Amino acid sequence: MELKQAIMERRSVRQFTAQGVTRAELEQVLEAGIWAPCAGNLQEWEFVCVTRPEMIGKMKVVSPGVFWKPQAIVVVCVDSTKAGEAFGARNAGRWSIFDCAMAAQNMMLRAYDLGIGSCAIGSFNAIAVRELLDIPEHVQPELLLLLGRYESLPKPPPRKTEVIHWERFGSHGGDR
Amino acid sequence: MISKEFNRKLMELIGYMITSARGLVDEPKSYGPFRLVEGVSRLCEALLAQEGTDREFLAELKTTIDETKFVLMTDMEAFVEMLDRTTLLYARKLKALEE
Repeated sequence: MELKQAIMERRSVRQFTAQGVTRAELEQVLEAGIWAPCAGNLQEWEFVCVTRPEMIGKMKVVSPGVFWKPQAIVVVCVDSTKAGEAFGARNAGRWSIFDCAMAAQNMMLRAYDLGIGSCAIGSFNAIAVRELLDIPEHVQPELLLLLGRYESLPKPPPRKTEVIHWERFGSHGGDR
Repeated sequence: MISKEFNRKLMELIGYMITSARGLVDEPKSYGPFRLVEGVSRLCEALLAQEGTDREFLAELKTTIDETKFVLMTDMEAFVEMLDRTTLLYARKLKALEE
């Protein structure tokens, strides 16, 4: 698949079928995550991949943004200790969030490339997820990435082209 | 007698409500009505499996919510219209209840 096709066609999939996703496919998705750019090449992220249906069901209970059970959930986390040491307490959160977002986008595009739907979920309870998955205190869950097969993709909502400015803010291409 | 399945669904609903309450402190304002009405849908689902409940009403309420709830992201007017229809549905049921 061409990169452009993956970028333009990927949609947030919330409803999944029961068809499985293989371990090998998940490994490819996770590999795409660790190849994302990151501040200072710190690689302060941690990815917890959950595939057991029982645990996915429990995670759904504490994640109001999850409506259907996916085949896998990747919990994208930040090692706060590592980030704090490298960036200082004031900036650690900021850079780490960028890094997690870039890793998540890599994984979602790779998933789409493999015929797997995905959705990034911020509406989950980090305290509960940490408890369920034995995630240590210094590792902060930032995002859930739902992965699973789908029957159809949602229609793309229109994009706002007016957010693109050329040369100066407010110029939308007229004075190029 | 509460069935094991009903108990499980109620436990899940409690989890949904607690984590929704915490999440909504930081989430967009519009998520509030969504979480509440989704909670109603889940409660209807739990009650539908129970003996002695008004299944016809619960099924209609749940369907009304589920058919439209996701338009919140794209069409707030349609979402609010669904909430109004749900409210009317409930009010009619309340009115018909025997004193």
